[in-house]
Amino acid sequence: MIRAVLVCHGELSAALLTSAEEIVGHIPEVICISNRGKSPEIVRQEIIHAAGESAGLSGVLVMADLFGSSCWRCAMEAARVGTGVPMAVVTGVNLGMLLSFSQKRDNMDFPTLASTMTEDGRRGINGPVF
Amino acid sequence: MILLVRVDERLIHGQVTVAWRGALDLDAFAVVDDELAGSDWEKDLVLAAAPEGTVAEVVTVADAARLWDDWKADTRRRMVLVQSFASARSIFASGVDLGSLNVGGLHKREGRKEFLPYVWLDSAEMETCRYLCRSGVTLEARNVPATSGVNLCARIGDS
Repeated sequence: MIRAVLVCHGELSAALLTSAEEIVGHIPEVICISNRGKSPEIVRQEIIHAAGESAGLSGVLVMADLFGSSCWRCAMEAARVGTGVPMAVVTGVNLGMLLSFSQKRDNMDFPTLASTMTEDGRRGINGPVF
Repeated sequence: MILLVRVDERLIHGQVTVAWRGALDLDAFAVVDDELAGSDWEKDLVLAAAPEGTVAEVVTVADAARLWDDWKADTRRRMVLVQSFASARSIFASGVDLGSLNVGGLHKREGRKEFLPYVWLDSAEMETCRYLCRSGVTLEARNVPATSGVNLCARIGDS
C-alpha cells in the first residue's frame, strides 16, 4: 500500500480529501496535516509520524500545497530525515492529483505512481480560455 | 536599507513575501542563521521561498554583523529574518544595534506558553526576550501589517 500525506495551509488538506471522497468514495491511507498555528518543528514531526513504517507500506507520497512554503519545507526536511519507508514530495496538490493517486495507486509501483499523479495534477491545469 | 528585523520561525513565507513585502515595498531578504548558513541543502530550501524580483541570502551571525552597515547603507529595501530569539540575541551581542525587533511567528509546541495566538514562548525564550528588553531593544509582536503591534516586553513582564 502507498500512503498519501497532505500538508497544506488552513483547512485545505481536509477539504481536498473530503471533496475527493465525494467523487470516488472513501480513500484509505490518506493523512491530512495543517500547518495552522503550529511551529514548523511540530509540522515536521507530524509528517515523520504520518510517514512512519507500518505493515505493508511500500511508499509515502507527501503532497504539499505551495512550492517554497513552510509546508513544503517541512515536507522536504521530513523526507530528508526519513522513516525507513520510501518517500517523495510533490507540491501544488490539487483534486486531480489526489484523484489520480486514489485511482492508480494499486496498479503502479511507487516511483511510477509519484510521477504519474504529479503529471495528472499538472494536466488538470488548463486555459486560459477567453 | 533595513526596513524590518523580524523573528519568525517560518522565515520567508506568505506573510513576509505577500503582506510585508507589499506594505514595505521590500526587494531583499536576509536570513541570519548559523545552522542554515552551514548547509547548502537547507539554504536552498529557504531561498526557494523568495519571490521573483527579490534578492535573498542566508548568512551566519558573524557575516550579518559584518554586513549590517552595508545593508543599512545600500538602496535595497531589505527585511532581515531570524528564526529564533537566540539568533537575535547573537546578532545583538556581536555589536549590532537592533533598535526594534518585529516578532512575527513562534507557534505552539511542547513547553511553550501562549502570549498571542502567533507568539508562544518557552522559558528560555522568555528569558532571552527579557534580556533584549532590558538592553533597550523594542519587541513589537505584529504578524502582518494589517494588525496593530503589541508591546511584547510589557506582555512578558519581569517575572
